[in-house]
Amino acid sequence: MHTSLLVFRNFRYLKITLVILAAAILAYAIHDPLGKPNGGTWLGYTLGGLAAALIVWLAWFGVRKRQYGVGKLLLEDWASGHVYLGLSLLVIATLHSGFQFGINVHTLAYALMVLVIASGAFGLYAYMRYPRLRSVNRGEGALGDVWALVAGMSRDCYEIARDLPDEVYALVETADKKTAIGGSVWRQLSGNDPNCASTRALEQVRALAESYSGRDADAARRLVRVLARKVELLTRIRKDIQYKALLDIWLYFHIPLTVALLGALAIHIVTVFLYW
Amino acid sequence: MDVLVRHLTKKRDGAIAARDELVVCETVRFGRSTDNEVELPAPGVLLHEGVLHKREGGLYFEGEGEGRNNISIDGQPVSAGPVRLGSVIGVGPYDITVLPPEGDAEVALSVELTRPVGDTLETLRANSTTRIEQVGISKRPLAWGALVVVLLAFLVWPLVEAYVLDGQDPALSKNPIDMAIETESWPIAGDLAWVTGPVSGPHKFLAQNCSFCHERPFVRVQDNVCTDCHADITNHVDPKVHDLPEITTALCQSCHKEHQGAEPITRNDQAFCSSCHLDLEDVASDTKLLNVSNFGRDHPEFRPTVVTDAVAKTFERVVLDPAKWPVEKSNLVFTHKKHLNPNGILVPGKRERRVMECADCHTTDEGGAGFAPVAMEDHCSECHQLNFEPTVPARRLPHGDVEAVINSLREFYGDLALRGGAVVEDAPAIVRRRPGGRALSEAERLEALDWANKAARDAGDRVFAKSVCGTCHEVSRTGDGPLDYTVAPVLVVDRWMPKGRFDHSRHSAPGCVDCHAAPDSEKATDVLLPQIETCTACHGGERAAQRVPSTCVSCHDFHLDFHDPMRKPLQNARAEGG
Repeated sequence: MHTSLLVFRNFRYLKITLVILAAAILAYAIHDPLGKPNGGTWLGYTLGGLAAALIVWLAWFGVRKRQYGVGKLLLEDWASGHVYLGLSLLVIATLHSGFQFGINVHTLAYALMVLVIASGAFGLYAYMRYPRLRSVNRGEGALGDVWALVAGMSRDCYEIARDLPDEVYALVETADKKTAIGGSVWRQLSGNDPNCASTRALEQVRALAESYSGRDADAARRLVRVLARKVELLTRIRKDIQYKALLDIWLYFHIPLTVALLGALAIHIVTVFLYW
Repeated sequence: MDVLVRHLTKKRDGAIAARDELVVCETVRFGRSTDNEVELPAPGVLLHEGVLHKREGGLYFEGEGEGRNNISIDGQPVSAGPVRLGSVIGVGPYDITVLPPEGDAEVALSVELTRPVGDTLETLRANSTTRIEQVGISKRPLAWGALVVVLLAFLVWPLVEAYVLDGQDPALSKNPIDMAIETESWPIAGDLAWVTGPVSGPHKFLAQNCSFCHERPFVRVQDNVCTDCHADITNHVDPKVHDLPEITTALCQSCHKEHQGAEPITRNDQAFCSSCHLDLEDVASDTKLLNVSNFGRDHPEFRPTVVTDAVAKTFERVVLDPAKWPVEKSNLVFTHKKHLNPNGILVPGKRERRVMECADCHTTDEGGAGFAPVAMEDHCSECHQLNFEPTVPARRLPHGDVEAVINSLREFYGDLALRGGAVVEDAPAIVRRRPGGRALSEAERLEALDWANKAARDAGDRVFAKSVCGTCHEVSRTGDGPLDYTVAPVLVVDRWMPKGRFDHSRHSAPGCVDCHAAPDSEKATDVLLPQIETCTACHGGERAAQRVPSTCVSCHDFHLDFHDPMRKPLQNARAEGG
């Protein structure tokens, strides 16, 4: 049965994380170093070593998730631990720093870590929230069916507009040929298209139809109905694309920032001993 | 006319299906709508595109739509023109070919959708971009790019700058003053990106040049970097007396942590000192020092170093015990009480009483922290004038040398007797004669010198008694002869508590007498120090809540200037060890 990775194994990884955090905070509170607390004391080295090991382990999740049936831990163990232990770094690395920040590669590593965690936290939020919204938005049909429905409506529009004046037919054609779903990253994330050809066609056909009478008026009314339904479907598809983009976009920050963090972390460790 | 319309449809397998339709009409109209003779229902066709009719000499096609360039005849984009057998009329996506007449039909046409605009679903899919990876953004190049930027900016460039470019600069000086002039910032000085925190204020002038202190990569900063400038830093204990290598051979930076911010890098935490001084016998069993852990709660009573013998120059540390107060045997005779008489004291020769203040004699030294020594000439001689002959009051004796005093007396009276002109009443006539004139006879000279010796002896007896020297000094006779006197040498300690530091200039708010009981002191042997309660009334330990938090180094130095330089014994120890 599926359980959230947050409650996985009855919060095992939350408990592990809380124990580590309690130990770290207690040690920091007791520790009375020479000068201000900093990464160069025995506790500083301990917390820094722990934070570095955690970062490498957390980054290894990117490798591990591509391997199936490897190791003793399930992928869910990794994911659940990834979330809790990743968040714990905010405390562990901050204590390691002794709250000393500056304009240097060390604080760069810290800042990258915070950004990685922030993007990961958004990812967690996205995975908790958007899949459910996505299935609600899809309703009963799969997305492929909805696309076919839209295409069918385009054909219906052609059929209905066949005997209507060319100005209407041209709008139907534009609505068919120019309507696009998604587009740029921003367009996908925004979940709508202010220049949607179908929406515009709907508005213009509606306006033109007011002057029609007889058979043309009937056909125009039918056309408006079908176009309206098409626009509604497009809105739902765009919403779906938006959820999908939100579910994906954070990884475009999370992964490159993680790799940059690994580089900055390596430089941080090397340089503090290079200039010991 | 009868027209055969043959609708050609391409099947999925490539075969062409034909459906014939016989249309009876005057003219053949082409267009999208159902009222056309030939309906062209695919997208891209107008309601009415054109009409084909018979003319003399053949068929003629006439387009109806305007401005759509939808019509072509035999590949030529025209709106109207004659057509012959085999001609192809292009109407939007359709090709209409004139076929040879068949059967009853006068005219035969084939209609084929040769340029379909595409399936609506395919069009929609083709127009749409629904995944982020489809817009040309990929995580992998982003990741590599970010990694390369970070590595180049924060590792490669600083390394090149520090070890290649700087290393090749022959003008690079190790003179810190020169370095202070080089004010560069990241990214010019790439390794500034590696700084872990601001350099302390006093070392800020080195902050631009990491390699001044970080001489070799992956090696901790060595003590010689510090002692290059701080050569005279002294030890805390004498390594020959106390075997405490953790103190005497510790690295400078084990106590002095740099890159912690602008404040000084000296340790001032109480626990650092009390870690040893709480149970000093554990680390130095034969020490005479007393245990201490906290100035406010656990500090021994002050033990001033007082003079026990001013002649032998011996000192002793004696605790300030009211039952047995230490005695400073300086050989001075002095009373603060008389001098600080609130009604003032008589100033000789001026017929006035002056109320004296502490600062009349105790003037601060140049730094303002301590006091300049009290000097007879500067502070006493205005009242304590060393004149001895009432008839020559301006003549003074020298101070500080008994032999010079005696010689001075003998010379003064001998000179007076032989020169003559003295106005001393009981002197013989030869001494009182007018100076100059004839030479003295032998008998007259002997008489004059006899008086001179007597006058010098009388003056000496007066001077060495309580009236002059004896006022302030212990005077004793050295024999029975005339002028056989001596004055006990004076020795006053500069500071009663030489291991402590006290800045009088920062304690100006209380008056002198709030701490020093001088107005009631009747003897020069009084040690006018306050007990520790006077200090602890205001000062507490490091974490005192309602008193001035004061740590050990508020009053004491770690590096004690009476010990040898700290690094010398270390080098010797290394040489011996090696």
